[in-house]
Amino acid sequence: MPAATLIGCPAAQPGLLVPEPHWPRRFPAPAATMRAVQVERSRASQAMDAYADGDSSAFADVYDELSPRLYAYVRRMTRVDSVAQDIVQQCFLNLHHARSRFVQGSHVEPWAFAIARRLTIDWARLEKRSFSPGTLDGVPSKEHGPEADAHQSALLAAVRTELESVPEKLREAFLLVRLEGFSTAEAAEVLGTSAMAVKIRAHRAGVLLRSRLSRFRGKEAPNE
Amino acid sequence: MSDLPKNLKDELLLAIARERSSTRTEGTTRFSIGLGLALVLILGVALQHGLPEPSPTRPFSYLLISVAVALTAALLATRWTLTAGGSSLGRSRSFLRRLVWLVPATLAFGALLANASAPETWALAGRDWPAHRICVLIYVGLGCALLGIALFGLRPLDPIAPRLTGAALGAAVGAWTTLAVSLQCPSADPTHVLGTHVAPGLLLIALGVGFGRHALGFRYRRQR
Repeated sequence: MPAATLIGCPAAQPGLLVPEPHWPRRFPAPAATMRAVQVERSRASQAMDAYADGDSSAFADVYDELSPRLYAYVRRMTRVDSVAQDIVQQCFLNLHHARSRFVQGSHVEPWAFAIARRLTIDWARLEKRSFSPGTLDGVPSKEHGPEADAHQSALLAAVRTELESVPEKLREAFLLVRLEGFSTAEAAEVLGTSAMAVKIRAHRAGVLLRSRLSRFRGKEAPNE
Repeated sequence: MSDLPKNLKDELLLAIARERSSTRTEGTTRFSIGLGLALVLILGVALQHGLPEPSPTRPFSYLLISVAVALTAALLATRWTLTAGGSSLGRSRSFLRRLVWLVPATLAFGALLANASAPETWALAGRDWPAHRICVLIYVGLGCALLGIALFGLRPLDPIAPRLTGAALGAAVGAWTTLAVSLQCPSADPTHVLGTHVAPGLLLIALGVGFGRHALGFRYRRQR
């Protein structure tokens, strides 16, 4: 059965039922109009399922799939390599200790990112630093040629600067949705809020950034 | 931004080989043992004077309604707190917040409804003062024991709002304790029931909040 695209459900189960597209949304759909959607789960989630069931070799797969994203996320918040490495290591140790809690068929990414976020907040409290949801450090820019590259670099530098001044809650939602690639529902899980709140915050952050970066409008990079 | 060092994975795999953790099956077994222990405690307190029997001061209708409401509240609160709702991150924060205030409100409503079903019990109001101390001691003792089993057995559980999850656990434990104490207490005095069978549940909720972060949260451990 071909896998359908992820529909943004934070804990999708295989065979999730959704109404047929033609059914009017304002009426509850009867069973006859429901269709089964095969939802795609990441390799990390499948490996975590296997690990939770006792397959010791699966942990290496969980690490390989998750560690680059987790490290980048934590590094953006802590800005110190050694601390980020330490937090990532503790995050994976926590995943190991709590593996019996992993709900079968759910996605591991929101869980892992929520643990990493909590550990980072704890670290910031212990070190008496302010918790920063992160910047765009380490985000590579596209390369098209010297002039285009200069434009991209200037734009990225401007986005980094303006992002710092966006309110913390808006910035966090924006980074999780736009940079980490989470759906609004998954980002809501990580942040412990509603999907609507995440959508609004990410949208407001985007609007703020667009208005502050208006000087770049109309100046498309050469050769794009 | 540097990449994760390659030896981090090897160190991590060594660490998890040293530190054992429960698989899903083992976790379910541990959970069942904890649940069995809790049930033994609840039944031990509830039936310490034998099966409850109707009496002139505690009519059958009063017994039926108070037990039915308390048991329903306890079962639902336990189910909604302990089941993850399809996500490893547990129930939504808004859901848990509603649960925390709804459970004690339902118990209080059930107690008053039971009194309303047997109007003769209103005449008992304020007469059972000596019994207050005994019931409070039993309630606090049983409630703390049950909450301790829950917090110890479920850690770590919630990376986002462990205090709120602790409060929800406290509310669920409070419902079971209300049921047990109500069954063993022959009094139907509304002031006694509300003051010593229901109100101390707020203490359990507060304890859940207080210990929730340490028992149920994921915490960063500073490396020496």
